[in-house]
Amino acid sequence: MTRILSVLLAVLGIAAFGAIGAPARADDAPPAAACPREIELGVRNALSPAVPATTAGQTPITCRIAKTPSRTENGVVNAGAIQAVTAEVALSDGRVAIVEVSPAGKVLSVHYAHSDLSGSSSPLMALVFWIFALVSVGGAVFVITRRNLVAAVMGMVGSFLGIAAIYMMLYAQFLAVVQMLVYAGAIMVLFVFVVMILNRPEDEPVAPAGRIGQGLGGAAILYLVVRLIWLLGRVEPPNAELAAAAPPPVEQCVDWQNHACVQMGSYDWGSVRSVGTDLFGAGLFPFEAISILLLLAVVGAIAIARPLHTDDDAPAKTRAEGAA
Amino acid sequence: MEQASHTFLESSSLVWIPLLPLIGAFINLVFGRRMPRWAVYAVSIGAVALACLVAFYQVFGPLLSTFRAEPETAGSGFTQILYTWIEVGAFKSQLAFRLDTLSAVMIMIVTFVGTLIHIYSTGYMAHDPRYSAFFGYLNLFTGSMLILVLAANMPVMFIGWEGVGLCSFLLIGFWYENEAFATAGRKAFVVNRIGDFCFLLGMFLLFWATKTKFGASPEFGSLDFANLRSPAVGPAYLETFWGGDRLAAAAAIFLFIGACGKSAQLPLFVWLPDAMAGPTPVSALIHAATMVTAGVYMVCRLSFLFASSTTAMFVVATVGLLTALAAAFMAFAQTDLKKVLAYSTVSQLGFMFVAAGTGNWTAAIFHLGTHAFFKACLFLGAGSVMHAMEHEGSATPGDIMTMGGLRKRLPLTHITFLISCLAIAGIIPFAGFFSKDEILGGAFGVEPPGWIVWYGKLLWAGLLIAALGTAFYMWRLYFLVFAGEGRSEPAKHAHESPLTMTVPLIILAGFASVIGFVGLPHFEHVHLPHILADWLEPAVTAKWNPEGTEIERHASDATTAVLMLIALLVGASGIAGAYLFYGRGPSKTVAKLVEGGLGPIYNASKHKLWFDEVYDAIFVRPFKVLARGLFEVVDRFVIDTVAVNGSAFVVGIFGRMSRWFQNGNVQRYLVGVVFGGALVFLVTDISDCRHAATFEYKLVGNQLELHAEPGDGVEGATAKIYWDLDGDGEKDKDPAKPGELLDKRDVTMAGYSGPITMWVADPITRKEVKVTKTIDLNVSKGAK
Amino acid sequence: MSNLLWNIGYPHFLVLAAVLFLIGVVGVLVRRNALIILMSVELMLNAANVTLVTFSRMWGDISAHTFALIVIAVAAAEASVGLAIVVAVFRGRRNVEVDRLNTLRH
Repeated sequence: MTRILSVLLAVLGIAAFGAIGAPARADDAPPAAACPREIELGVRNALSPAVPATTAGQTPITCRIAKTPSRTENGVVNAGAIQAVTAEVALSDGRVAIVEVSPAGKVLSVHYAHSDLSGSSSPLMALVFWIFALVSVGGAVFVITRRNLVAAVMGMVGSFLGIAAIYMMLYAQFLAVVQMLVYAGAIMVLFVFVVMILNRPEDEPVAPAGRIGQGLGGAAILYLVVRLIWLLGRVEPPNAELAAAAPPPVEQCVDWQNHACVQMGSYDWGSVRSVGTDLFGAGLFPFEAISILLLLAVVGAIAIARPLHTDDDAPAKTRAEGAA
Repeated sequence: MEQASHTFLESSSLVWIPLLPLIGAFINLVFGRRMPRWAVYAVSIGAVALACLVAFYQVFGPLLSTFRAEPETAGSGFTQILYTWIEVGAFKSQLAFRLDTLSAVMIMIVTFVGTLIHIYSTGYMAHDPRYSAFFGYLNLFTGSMLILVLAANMPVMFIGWEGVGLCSFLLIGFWYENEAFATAGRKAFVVNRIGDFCFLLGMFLLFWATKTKFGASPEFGSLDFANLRSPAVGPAYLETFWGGDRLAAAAAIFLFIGACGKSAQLPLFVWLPDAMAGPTPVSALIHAATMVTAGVYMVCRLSFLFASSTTAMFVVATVGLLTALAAAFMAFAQTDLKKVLAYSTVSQLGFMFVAAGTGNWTAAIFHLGTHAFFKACLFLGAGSVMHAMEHEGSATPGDIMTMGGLRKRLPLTHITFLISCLAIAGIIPFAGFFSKDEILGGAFGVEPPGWIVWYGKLLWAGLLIAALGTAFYMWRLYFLVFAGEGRSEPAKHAHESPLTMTVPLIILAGFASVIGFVGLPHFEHVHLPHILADWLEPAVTAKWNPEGTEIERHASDATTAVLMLIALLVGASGIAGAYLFYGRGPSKTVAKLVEGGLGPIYNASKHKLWFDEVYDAIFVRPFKVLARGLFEVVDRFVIDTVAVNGSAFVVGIFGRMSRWFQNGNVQRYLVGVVFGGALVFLVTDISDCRHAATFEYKLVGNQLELHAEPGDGVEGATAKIYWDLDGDGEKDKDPAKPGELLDKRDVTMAGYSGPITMWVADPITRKEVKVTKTIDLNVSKGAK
Repeated sequence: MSNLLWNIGYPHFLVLAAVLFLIGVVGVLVRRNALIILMSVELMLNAANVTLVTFSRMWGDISAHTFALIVIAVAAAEASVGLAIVVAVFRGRRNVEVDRLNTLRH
């Protein structure tokens, strides 16, 4: 029953999404071109003084002019009337101002687009982000609320998959795959094993806590939520150009001699090669250290989880006694 | 003598006089329990006897020869300085002893009478289990008294002063198992303390007045008697004190109040009658012969001070007279043997102070000496009587109403008692006659400057009445105790005391008989030698300061003779009157009178003029209320409840708070961690980590270098800095990047054309701070 | 408002990471079962990783990816040892409720 419900909700969500309608930024938008003079002036006035001055013929303002199609009547070409003009202005602080201008040149509305993170500010990417964000958060909530251990583990796995998708959106391809392989694939499997060992149902999921503990903890977390969201919501990228587009390739040093770099390589951002070059280049020592750490963890895990009395000792003893 | 010679003759054995009894005291008090009885006796009696010998040797040896050779400078006597005791600021005091003619008299009396009483005590305290402590205390007392008398300066005298007060307390309350006796001891100490406090005040005054004025070393003040007496200091006593009378008056009165406490004058005499709770040898030694005379001694020692202020003398004489009269009055109705003697002591001390108050120092010391002998004899005799009564099973050994007829049963005691009573009544040729007569004559004839002219005669008249009373009640006592027939079983079967008790009695009585002849009266035509006056002359002052007139009594021979006769007659009539009423025992006449008109007077006398009751109401009760109040408020509430319990309560609260956190539940610890983390966030949120944004500047050549300080933290690190260097009020544009504002931490400008403005734009809080500064080009440092 | 919804920028990823982190914290504080607590810890580590990657994208520094990799490795090690402890505890007590593991109190 819940499954049907969840599918239904998803479909409705997408429909609503489409119905509400993103700003008409479909690919059939009119091409960007230079602005008519009066429109440009009007836009500048509206945005002044944020708009930088033109230098050497380069103008940061582009217009998409929506016209009705031109019709030919009786051999007379009627140019299509300008219906709407959308001016895009790249501002100096990295934002893009989208100005709706009437055909007469009067500014109808101004709104600002944030840096284009995904290479194109399509609403599809936004949808993808929200879906996977919901999956991650939903999985996390599953973990902390389910009484059934297996359900909790499954929720965790779902959360990790969502996070992997988020990594993809951030152009961290290698990390996304590693996340799925190691986290969802290995660690959660380990959890599943242990869940199978501890196959007791839980009596009471929530630990009993006094009012003071609840009060303090609740207040602290509430405050942290509010503060963190407020703080992090204000983070702005320092470099507008980099943020506006897909990440450029990484320039990395691939070969050294005598502490001097003899060969540089250029690899895609977030790719295996780039991460690998860094891992085995600058991050070689951490890499080696982490391998020792993993060895320690393995040995430690075995040492801790091993049962205290084993039958292997008995035969050795009898053999020794027999020999004596 | 006013001119003091500062030639101190050194003596190296003075210190042994007080030291020997102190050593004896130490041995007896520390080891006494483990020593055999004879050893205790030997140590204590030996110590005092040895001291007596050393004293006599010192006096009759070196001092006497010095006196004979130079009578004037013998006033300085011998000094022994042990070491510098206190040396602080402008005050220097050495532990030093001084033997001059005045202290010679005192030490002879103290050691001699002391030895006799020690011997007497061996018999009296024979049955007491704590006898070793008793002898230890007696020795301690003797040592303290000798320190007091031999002191060369006031602080050392004060040591002795306090010491005798302490020993008085220890000895009065010797039988402390009895609550009343212990209380009596405490009362003595407390009343003494009041006197001691005033003594200290007087001492401080003297120091303050003289600290820069005496000879040897100008930067030190000292309370040496020699220095206090020097003519350089004389004027200091005459300065006005707090706009009132002379300083000498204030200092002398304070010191006299101290003497009142010690010598049981009005109004601080209340401890002496109660002090009879102590063993009789104690009463004899301390409260008859020695301690109570310390006050008189002190006044005579400071004769020069008192002579500087006739006001003080007036006070001394008046208090002495009133005390003599009041004590005599109170003695009439007493029925306890020792109480009568106690009041008589107070009264006689009054006599001595009258003598001192009229400038008649010699008479005071004379009476002191004679009184020591006959009063000690009286007390020891009383002890003998009480010892006998107790032996026969009397429950109240001191009640004279149960005695009578003891002349037949205790012959030796009787004889000595009789002689002493004759002496105290002032019958020739016994000692009391000469000394009392000298006091009376001196009071009659003296005219101190500043007194009412006939005041001396008034004093004489009052003393005469007191002398009459003295004779009357003393002989009432005698008749009731020894005359008539025994009125109770113990009295009928009493027997004489052992030799250890009677021999001292005999010796004392002998002295009481003859000692009067050292001070024969002064006639102009017949020169009778007044040995004592000559002896004491160097030590006491003979002139009024600053008038410089001689303290002298105008009395012709005839007057002197008549006065002597009157005194004799008064004494005799007192005896006669007592015989009349009490010759054969308790008087029925008196009893009838008492029930009749004399009732109130009799009551007043019996209740000691209600002094104790008045003191109780005025001082003791309010003090008790105050003490109780303080106990309830300060002790119970403030200290116990608030401070002690309160702090425990607070600690408990903190403990409970901590206990909440340490219950072993890790998740609770994590709550603490999360809470702490949130707190850190909160703190950085609230506090302005970005302290006032500002910029510094530096002049390098003709370039002005500006450096922005946007503040700490993330907000400072990511802040954008805009400048306005050209003074147009707008943010300057970046010349390198067209269309953008200049955003730099460090800028350089050539020349300076006006105030510089800097904006700090905070990316996170979206706030902008503007700082404008006008730079003073003359100051080329990076001043903010 | 719609800007926030449609124009995904760095704040979105950072807030997502913060939310995941706080959900993990709540899980650690509230749940009784040790396994759930361990999973919440993993959640917190993941949130940290997301933040790391976001900032690496912001500043253009690829070495943060290496850091994230190390974090994953450490998380794996910690999870394994933690699970071993849970198993050992379960073996003795037959349950893994952390509020019963309070003998540190004494």
